[in-house]
Amino acid sequence: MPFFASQHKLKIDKALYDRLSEAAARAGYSSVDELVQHVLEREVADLEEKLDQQQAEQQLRGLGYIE
Amino acid sequence: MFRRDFIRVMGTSAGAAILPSCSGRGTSPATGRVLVVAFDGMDPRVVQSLMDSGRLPNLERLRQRGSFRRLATTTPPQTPVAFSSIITGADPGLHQIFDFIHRDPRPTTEGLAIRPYLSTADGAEPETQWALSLGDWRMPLAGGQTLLLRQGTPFWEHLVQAGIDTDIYYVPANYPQSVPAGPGRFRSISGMGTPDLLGSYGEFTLFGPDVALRGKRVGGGRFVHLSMLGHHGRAELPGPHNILRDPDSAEPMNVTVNVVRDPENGVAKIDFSGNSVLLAEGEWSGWLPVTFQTGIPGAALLRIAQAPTALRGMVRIYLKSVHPKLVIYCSPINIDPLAPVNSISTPAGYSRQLARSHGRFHTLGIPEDTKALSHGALNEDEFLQQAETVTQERQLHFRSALQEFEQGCLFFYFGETDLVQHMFWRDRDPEHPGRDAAQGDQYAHVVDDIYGRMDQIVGESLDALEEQDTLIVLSDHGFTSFRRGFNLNSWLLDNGFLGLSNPSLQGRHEMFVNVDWSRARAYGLGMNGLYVNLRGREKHGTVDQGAMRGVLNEIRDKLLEVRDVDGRAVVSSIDLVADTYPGADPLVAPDMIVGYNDGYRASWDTVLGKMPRGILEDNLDRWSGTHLIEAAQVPGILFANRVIDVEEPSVLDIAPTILHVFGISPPVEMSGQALFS
Repeated sequence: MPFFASQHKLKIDKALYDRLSEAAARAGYSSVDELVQHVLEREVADLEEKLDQQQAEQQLRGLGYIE
Repeated sequence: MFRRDFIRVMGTSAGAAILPSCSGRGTSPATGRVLVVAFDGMDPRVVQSLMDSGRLPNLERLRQRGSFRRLATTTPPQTPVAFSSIITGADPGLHQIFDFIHRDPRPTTEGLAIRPYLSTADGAEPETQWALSLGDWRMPLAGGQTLLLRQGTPFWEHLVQAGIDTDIYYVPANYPQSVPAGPGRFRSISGMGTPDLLGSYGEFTLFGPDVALRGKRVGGGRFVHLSMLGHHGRAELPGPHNILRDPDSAEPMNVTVNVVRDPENGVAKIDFSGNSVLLAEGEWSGWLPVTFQTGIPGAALLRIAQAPTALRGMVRIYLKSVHPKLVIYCSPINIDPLAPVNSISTPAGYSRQLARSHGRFHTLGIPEDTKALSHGALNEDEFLQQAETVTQERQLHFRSALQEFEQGCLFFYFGETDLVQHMFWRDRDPEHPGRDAAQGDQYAHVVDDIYGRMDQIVGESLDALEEQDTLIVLSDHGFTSFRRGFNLNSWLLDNGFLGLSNPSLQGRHEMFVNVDWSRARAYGLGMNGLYVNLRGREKHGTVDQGAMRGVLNEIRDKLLEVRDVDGRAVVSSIDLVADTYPGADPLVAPDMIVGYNDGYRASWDTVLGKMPRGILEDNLDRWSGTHLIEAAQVPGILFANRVIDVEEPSVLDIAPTILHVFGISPPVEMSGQALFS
């Protein structure tokens, strides 16, 4: 990551972290950080897609013909 | 001396011979002016009934002077479709507008199977986005634009090219506007299809203390929490996304609204964006400008360089109640005609001129806030007050346009008849399942009243006519009751034309989420459209071109057999677009247009791809009238102060008729015919 890029810390409980460690090892990730980053990127992309769809739908919904 | 006085004074063949060389405008004494007044959705059965009872004296006067006919509409009978035909004199096979909603069958967004958009306009992203980036700030140097998707040449282009002055007011399917070139003077204000400042087609805001902190979003509006401390309230009016922020991190630009109420006197002072307005309970404000600041540093310097640093719109506020609960309605954020962020008029400054002369006015394409009524943000009386404001604004512009109307063509559109009938049809239909027993016949008169209101407009038109002028009064379609909704996509699912990835989640998602496209042969989108999931066209197409007609025939045959519980046919006609409109663009047009029977319509859920369980359901929404059925069952009206020579006129005939009156031969692309000999 670039030197001047900002980073943030997230807190998760130990039980979840342990599950992530095991899953990372089994799936071949180099670290828990790598697994978490990958999963979050995928989920956010899905969410952004849904938000884009919702935005397009919401724009059309002002037409009284649509609920 | 005005031109028509000069014509009247001359009035001789010698004068007529001289005049063309003097005018250079193409309007001869024999032609006179052409005035076209359009009332959206005016129904011939209602008109006939009201004329018979003497409620429409001016339409009756016009009928006696000339003609009254039913006007055949387009298939499907939707305003953007019918008006595109009125404008071009051609059917959808030429102008390529087939519904309110079209779709992109191959959206580039991963995971998105189809992307719906408004049929008459869509955004076009440039190949390269040029922008200057400074941290999180992004100054667009060149950006995307909105394109008018209606094809064909509008009739006014022929008029202006021939030197005939033309004014076009609020005509649907003309945003962004098509601007003609020629010696004739041209002025227009865009109508249906014009967005609000959020880029949507109308989103109201209702502020109240009972709304959850996170707020609630509904179709066409938002409910926003009003935080109260004693008699002081505070809330945020959601605005557009920050145009100068990186899109990935863009947040809405909000405006803080502060309110102080006086419960004893039933008033409240509302402050936002430099406005301070005192309203009594049940009172509407006038138009209030609202500015959404981007917050970019150095805005003052940027403004000097004429760079955008804020977006300006306008709203109207209604104080619904003061105490015990302070509830405030805020209209959709309209584009401000005094400072339009997008061009809504031609010339660009014409909206400013109108606003300076007559005050600010609704610029949203469908200004009557039906969603506010449907979702309870306004009650029936409040909605009618809001709609009346629209009528008053339009009537002011109409009178002003008539006063300035010296020559050429004036085409003026009124949309109120359509929206009021949509919202109040059940009040005149004793069999409607959505009737409110408590209201009874309280609003049964509303539809008749709006017809009477429009009849006054006809009277003013008649009074302004000279002998050689032509007056045409028309509507794009008729109206009927929307009692039952048909879940077309659920029907396709039940009949094996669609499949779900997770059947246990049926009915939970819109936009075809949860569809297993590998098992999808067809889907419904929009009000009347059905599309084959065609391989090579649709992103996840499964049906080969050679099998397409077989799929359509199968669907058609089965749809025509669908019966309601009382044995009534739900669908009365089916059009296969390739047969009905051979010129249709197969990438744009639906493959089938479903003509519902009287009383039926595509359900609320099916229009954007939701698949609830069950095929038919009562329509319990306040939006209780419709015209989205078989076209032959909802013709419009056609009046003229001349004898109409055509027995069965259609909306395709309007444009050729206007050209014919001015002595212009309609081009071959116009398939309609002139109505007068």
